[in-house]
Amino acid sequence: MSLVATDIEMQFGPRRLFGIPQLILNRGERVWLQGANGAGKTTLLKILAGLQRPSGGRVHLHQDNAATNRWWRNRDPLRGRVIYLHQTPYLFNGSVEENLAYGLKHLALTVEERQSRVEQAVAMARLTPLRHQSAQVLSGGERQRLALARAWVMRPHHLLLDEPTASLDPDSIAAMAAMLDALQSQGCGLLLTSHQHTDLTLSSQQQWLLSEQRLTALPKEQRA
Amino acid sequence: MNDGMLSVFQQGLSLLFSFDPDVWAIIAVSFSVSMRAMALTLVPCILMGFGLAVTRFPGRHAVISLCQTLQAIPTVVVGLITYLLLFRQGVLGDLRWLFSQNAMVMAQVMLAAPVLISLSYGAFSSGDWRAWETARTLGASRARAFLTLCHELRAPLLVAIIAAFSRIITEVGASMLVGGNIHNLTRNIPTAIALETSKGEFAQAAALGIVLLILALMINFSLSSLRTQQESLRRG
Amino acid sequence: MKRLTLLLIAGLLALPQTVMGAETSNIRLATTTSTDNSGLLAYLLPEFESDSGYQVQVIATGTGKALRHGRNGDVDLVMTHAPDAEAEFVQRGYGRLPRQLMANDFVLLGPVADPAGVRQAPNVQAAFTAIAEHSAPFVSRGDESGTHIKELAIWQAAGIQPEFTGYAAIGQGMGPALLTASEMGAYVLADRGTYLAFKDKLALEICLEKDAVLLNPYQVILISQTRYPDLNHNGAMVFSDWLVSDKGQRMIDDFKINGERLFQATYTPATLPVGAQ
Repeated sequence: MSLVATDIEMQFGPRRLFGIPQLILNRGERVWLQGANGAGKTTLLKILAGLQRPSGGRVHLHQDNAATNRWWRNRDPLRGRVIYLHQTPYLFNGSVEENLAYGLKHLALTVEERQSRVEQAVAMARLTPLRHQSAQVLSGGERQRLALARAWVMRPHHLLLDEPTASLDPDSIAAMAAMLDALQSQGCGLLLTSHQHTDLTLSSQQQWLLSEQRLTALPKEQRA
Repeated sequence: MNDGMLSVFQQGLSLLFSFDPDVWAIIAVSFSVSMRAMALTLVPCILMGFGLAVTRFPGRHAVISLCQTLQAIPTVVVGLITYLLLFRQGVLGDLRWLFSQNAMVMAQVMLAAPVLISLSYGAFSSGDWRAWETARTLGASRARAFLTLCHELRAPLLVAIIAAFSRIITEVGASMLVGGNIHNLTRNIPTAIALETSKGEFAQAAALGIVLLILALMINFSLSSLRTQQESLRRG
Repeated sequence: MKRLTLLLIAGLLALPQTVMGAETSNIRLATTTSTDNSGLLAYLLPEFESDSGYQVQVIATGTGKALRHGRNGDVDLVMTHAPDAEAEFVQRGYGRLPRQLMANDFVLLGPVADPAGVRQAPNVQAAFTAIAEHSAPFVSRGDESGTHIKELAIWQAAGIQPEFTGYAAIGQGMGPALLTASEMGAYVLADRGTYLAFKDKLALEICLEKDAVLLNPYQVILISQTRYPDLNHNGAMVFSDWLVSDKGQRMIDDFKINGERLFQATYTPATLPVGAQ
């Protein structure tokens, strides 16, 4: 299943941010999205996650098996499957564990399955000693790890990360890299923006560049 | 006046705590009317405040300014409007609601609505929009994301609720006009204070004033405890 | 559309409570503050309610407003004290069966020093003239109450426009007017009942009383059946009958504050006033 955007364009009043005839993000693929500040990277990610409506065009999940696409459950097909992560994540009032479990209520899971996913996520994000703490007291790196773990438990088809490593310590970056690797091996498609080349961008199959209102895939020889 | 301030308040306190049934009947009217008005306004007005904060439509600024202005409208004017709606020849005269608790509820709904709308609008528009986006991207429906947002913004929303409740529980003009200050039916704390004062029964009036004061204190304490709770959460 | 709106609002608001106006066990009385504040109604109503089984809901306001509620059909009967306004109310067909229920009287109060020398005045017109000539402070209700209407009639009879410097129309009830006059050291026209209730809070004395002009008759008037057929006319009739019955009249005569009688029962079945059906 791929995330497909066709003919999307974004316009703010008279200013045209970008226009993209076609974009396909395959499952199990990692893409590094580059571009100058203000090129519209964040806006593009939000559009792909269904959080922002584009001025034109549409975004959808291309289903391999159309029969599973039940119309009454699918008014909002991206929701919970394509997850967007803020550059500075928002954590809900409540404990670390409550934050982790937030999205699980929207999935049809058994109590045991829910519990085991939370256990795994807490361990992977290295937040076990903090699990009953209020999320508001976490440090920057812990917050970022919690936000990723909170998305991870959802088993998303696609994960869109906005500058996930900006101002993170090496330990946190390593933990996040491990979580992303696990996700990718489970078939999750990853799209991440980053100014620097890091552990997270290392194994990306593609590099895209958003500049001058257009999105281009960089050929191998031009890659960073 | 022969009575000193102090002795009047002493009499008031003893009236209150001797559980004078008349005093408690008045308190019950005040609360049942204002609670019902709040129950009717709360959800639609907070939704409207939310709508004003997140949508863009022509005339939106006019609506916001109107609500903010109406917060300061004298209660007696709202009473007059309600009266003109409810009296025999009024548009809603067939309801026969004049001089009933329903009439008071109606006036208080009109008083509380602008306060709730403009303060919840303020809460939502200064709130962190990432909370909504995070809830949505984690699979929440619009309704659940809205509830999550309300939970995250519960402190400023509580301020809005308390401000609206304070406005209606203390107002005298509208209740007097459309309720008629009928004993055991539409006599609430403020109209009773006005009546007892006009009769020169300052002890009774002071007792009721003290009830309002205690109520206001209780509300403020619960508010500030909630705030400190949130602040301690933040500081850890 | 109107009906739909009505239904909607009624459904929303009529939560635990029945619509009061439709109930036949309730009687709505619009009356003046003087009958309510003096405690007369609190003394009469429990007795009437246990005799008849009706509940009386009292809306105490000024005479002008009470008559307006009656004219709009928002109450079942009125009890007021402004003979001219009441006569007009009946003549125009808003009210029916007016009955002279009782009377008390007005008193002219003033500061002990009596700067305008009102005590020497032979009658109330002369007293008002003296107040105006001295430009002495005078507090007027200014609220179209029975007392205010009476006061204006006296100024008119004395041929004076009450526009002298001491004249203050405060637009408030009798109690606040008395307290204001006391603080200002002003003259004020008051009904005796309220004055007695406030007596020990006031630095005012009676300067003039017992003038025939100062008689203050109260009438109880039913509301037109033809205009507003759905009011509680039966209940109102029962209440009016009870008030003028031997028992009601005796109780009015027996009502005392600090040992002083406040109202004098005046109903005489023989004299049918103007407008009776």
